[in-house]
Amino acid sequence: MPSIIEKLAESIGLIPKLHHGEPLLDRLQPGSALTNYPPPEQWDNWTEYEAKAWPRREQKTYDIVPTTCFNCESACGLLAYVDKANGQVRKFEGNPYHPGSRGRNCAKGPATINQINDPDRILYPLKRDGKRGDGKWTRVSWDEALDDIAGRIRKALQEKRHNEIAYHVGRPGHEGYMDRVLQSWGIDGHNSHTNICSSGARFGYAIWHGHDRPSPDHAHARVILLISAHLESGHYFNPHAQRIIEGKMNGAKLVVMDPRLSNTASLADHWLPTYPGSEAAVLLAMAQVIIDAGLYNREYLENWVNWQQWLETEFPGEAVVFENFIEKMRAAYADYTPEFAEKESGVKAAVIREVAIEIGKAGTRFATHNWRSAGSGNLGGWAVARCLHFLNVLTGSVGTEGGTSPNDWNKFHPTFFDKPPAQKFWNELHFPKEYPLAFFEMSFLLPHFLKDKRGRMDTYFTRVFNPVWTYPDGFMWMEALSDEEAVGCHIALTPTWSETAYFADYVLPMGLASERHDLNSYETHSGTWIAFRQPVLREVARRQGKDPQFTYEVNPGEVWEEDEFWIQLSWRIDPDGSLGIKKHFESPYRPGECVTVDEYYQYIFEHTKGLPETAAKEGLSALEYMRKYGAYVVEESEYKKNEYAIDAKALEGAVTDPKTGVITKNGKAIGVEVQGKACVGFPTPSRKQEFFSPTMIDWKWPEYKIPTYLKSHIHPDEIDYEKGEFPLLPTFRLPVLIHSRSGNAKWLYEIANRNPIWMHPSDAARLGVDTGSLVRVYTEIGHFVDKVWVTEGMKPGVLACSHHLGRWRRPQDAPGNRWATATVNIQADGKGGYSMKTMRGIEPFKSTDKDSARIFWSDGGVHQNITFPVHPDPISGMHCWHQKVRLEKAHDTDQYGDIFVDTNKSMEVYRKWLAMARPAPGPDNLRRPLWMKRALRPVDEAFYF
Amino acid sequence: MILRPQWRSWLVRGGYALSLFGGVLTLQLAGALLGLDALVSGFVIPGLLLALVVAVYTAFLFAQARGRDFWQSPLLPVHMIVHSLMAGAAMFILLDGAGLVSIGGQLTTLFVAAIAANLIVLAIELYITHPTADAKAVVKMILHGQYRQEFWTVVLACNALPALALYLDPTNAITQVLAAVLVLWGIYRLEKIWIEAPQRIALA
Ligand code: SF4
Repeated sequence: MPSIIEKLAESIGLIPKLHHGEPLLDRLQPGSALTNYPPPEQWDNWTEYEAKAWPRREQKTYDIVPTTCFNCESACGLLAYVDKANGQVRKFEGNPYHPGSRGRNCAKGPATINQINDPDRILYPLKRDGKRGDGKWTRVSWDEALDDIAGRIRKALQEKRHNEIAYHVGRPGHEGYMDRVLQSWGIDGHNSHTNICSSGARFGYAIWHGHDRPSPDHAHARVILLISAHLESGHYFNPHAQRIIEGKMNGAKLVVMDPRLSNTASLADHWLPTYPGSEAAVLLAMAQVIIDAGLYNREYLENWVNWQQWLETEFPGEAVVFENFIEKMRAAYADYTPEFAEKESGVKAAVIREVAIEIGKAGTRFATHNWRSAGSGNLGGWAVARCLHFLNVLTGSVGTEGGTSPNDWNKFHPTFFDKPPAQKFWNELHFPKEYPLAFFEMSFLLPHFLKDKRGRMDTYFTRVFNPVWTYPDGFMWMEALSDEEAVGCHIALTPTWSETAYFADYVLPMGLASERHDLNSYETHSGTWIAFRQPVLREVARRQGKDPQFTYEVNPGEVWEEDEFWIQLSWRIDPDGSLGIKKHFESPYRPGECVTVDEYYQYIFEHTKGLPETAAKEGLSALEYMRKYGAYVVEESEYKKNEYAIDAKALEGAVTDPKTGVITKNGKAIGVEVQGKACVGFPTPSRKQEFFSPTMIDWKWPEYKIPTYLKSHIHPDEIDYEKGEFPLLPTFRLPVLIHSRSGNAKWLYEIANRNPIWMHPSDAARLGVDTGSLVRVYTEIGHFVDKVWVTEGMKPGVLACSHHLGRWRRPQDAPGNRWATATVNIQADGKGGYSMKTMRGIEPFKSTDKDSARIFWSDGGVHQNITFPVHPDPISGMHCWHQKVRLEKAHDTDQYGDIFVDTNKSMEVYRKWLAMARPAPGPDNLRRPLWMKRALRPVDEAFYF
Repeated sequence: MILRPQWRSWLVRGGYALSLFGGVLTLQLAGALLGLDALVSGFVIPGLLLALVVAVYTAFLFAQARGRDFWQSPLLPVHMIVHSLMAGAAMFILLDGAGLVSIGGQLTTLFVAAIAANLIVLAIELYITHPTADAKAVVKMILHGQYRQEFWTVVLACNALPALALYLDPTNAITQVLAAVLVLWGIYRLEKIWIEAPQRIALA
């Protein structure tokens, strides 16, 4: 209510009159608690005040349309507010009906509005002019682009050059869509970013139980053990953060291993600042304490671990009894004392003991997570996830309430209207014989393989993928992408300019979160959900009774979406059906005609358990329901799925091995008999948790047959501090940025725009540097120049530098992401040496967005990744990110952001690491164990040489 | 701020107090000039009350900045009153020196007492209160850190020295004027420290 003074001042005209006595709009919720939302009945006509007009009460009316965020992997729910007056998206808020994000978002969600309004975005399909990388572009129509690309692919397929077509995905997240497309073309052409991200963790989990990702049930845990900063920037940022805090509020103890005092570590009950790479040693010491204290879960171990196999194979003649297993395990880990772990990690033995006992007492309510971090930083980083999961196995917390489930248990698998057969090819550019156990494609070695002439690519799609910047050895990528012999045609499918798109032949603009279709499902918690990403303006058009044929008709410019692009492309590759592709794109509802994107999703939703029934209750079809709410819970919490009985029909004709209990049918294991019950078990050869891995023995790594600790390539033994050497952790993420995709979001760059070297005061004193000092950081192949940030939040003797920053463009490149990019000058010396110098930092610029002239930051960070060589882990295939570096005070001529790399050295390091691999074939002349997962799995026959 | 007041804010309350106080002073000035004694004397009590509010409201205003721990000190209002007494006395001494008014010996005594009180309040504020880490960090900055030199200069040269000089020789006119100037300068420097230092603590 206005005060008397205000009323008086208004009435005599001293100040504008804001109180006309008109009825006020209802507040959603009295006070400020975020517990209520516009009710869905009003989503097609929602009125609220315009924030920017304050203090005037300007009413605006919106169409509210649900979609999902495209920024990180979590795919949180968003509600787009589309202004009815001008048909434009005004803002994004959380979707309360999304089971993963529950109405909340991290900063990157609402910042989607910056991305769609970015003045630098690409609005039309572009084709290169001049030489690749010259920065000259011509606008083309979608028809021209489709026909040209389809023609190339058709020719390659007709000439049986199937392995020359590849699709390389950065940001994935449309469930199964691409597998279907690529398999309809019959190619083994899937490549992904996985091996610079998560292969270490994936292998560590898979070697235990076939599933390659964890799904911790944080909300119900008693102890949560996180390796890295999962609270603010882990995998599934916001959904996990909510549940970790929920667990903490319910009394869970939070234990965090991280050499850096992250926001997560600062909220931990126990912060264990482990020396990087020593995590597995600490975990094994904890295992030892748990075993010694008798806190292991006997029932779980006895029933669900392949201990008998271990005893029989490794200790022939000895009694195969559980007590003996414990004894042998005790002996195997006798050396992994907390004191040993203290020596390796720097964390006090007493703390390790205390935490181990707490974990033991938490029993089945023990949630753990390792995804990137230590798993992706170290040679042998896969052992971290393996040893972490060992603690879950010991405590029997695999798949329990408050424990850690396999991801597949909480992930949805759609039913498609058509499923093409698996491809018959095996593409060695993606799955080379040196890495038979890799999870999965050796994507970061692609430029090195091309340089070694292991193959060529005729048509190469990159999808929201920026290896030139994000990957190690970016100059090698630039070389490869510039080589028109090695890469015939590079097509960048991307919503925004990127360092990689500058080296494309076609830059095809694809929609952001609110401009595309996708189906999402992630294991954010115990339970399975799906969410529907939809082009919101298309949905608004539909509500207005219009029916656009393609999404680019409603999006800004001619921005399209991949779903329709692939359908149209596939249709044009095989116009007459002779290649057998066309039939996979025929509508399930209108025989012979091309499927529409609506029909594609209609079919999936009609075949989603319970969805049609739920929709019918509201008088909606399944598709209408998803358009309206944007998400659906397929299954509430479910635990212990390994104990599910195999259904009677599947058991018909199956045989049970009397000794191992493994149940097989047609030569394939389908389950295991436990306590007289036929259970589905886990997808491993023993159908149990494999403490003992015969696979490791079969594939030439017998030394790692049980969970073990391996010394990292940056182990203290390798570091000579006297010479200024340090381990550098280059992987940590900032909560507000996401790889190179957030460069077009002004709000996010305003918050975070530099990446100094984190250094402990004791190291700074030793080196005689201070906050702001310029230093030269030497890697194995070159160096970069960055500033120092002295902080006690870093473990002494370890350096860190955050990811996401140091974006650039060259003078000839189209202005892109100017909120985030410095202008650089790249010079090649013609002998493999490359230097990069910053010409201009980030500067204000004039555009349709007034804020662009208000940019106050000039520092965009330093591109460290480009100075890193490749470090393929010989087992998991992970690029081991951590670097041994040498620090020097900057030279007189050095400038902030300077970079130098010698690609000859890149090749040397690549060969050195390649030599560590133990190539296939494995048993039976196999390329890869048949039981292991593989991306875009080909027919079984292709697994053999 | 004045016409759409938010009454819970000390910015508004202070703003109104300042305006009213200014009004009262104007009226009293007019009364004095026009020889209307009733106008002068009639506003003495309201003037005194408003003067008190004007002197201390800043303490409450600062306390409303909840993130600044150092400003949450319960002694801050006392600090402000003591400073206003010192400044007032100093001004009268200067006016006396200029021959504009004539002060008695009591004002000098009050002046010295106010300076002594100020030193005690400072001692309590810096050595006894302030339970939080952020406030302690400010204290450290003032006593031992970047404000060390300035703070101790103020305490010694602008508080202890004038007080001592006036105590030893309360009637010397030169001593009085020098003491008044030093004290006013000291108040300015000290308040600057009090405003600046707590804001050097990063809130996030
Ligand atoms: S966590 Fe943030 S960036 Fe990731 S999907 Fe959710 S809102 Fe988007």
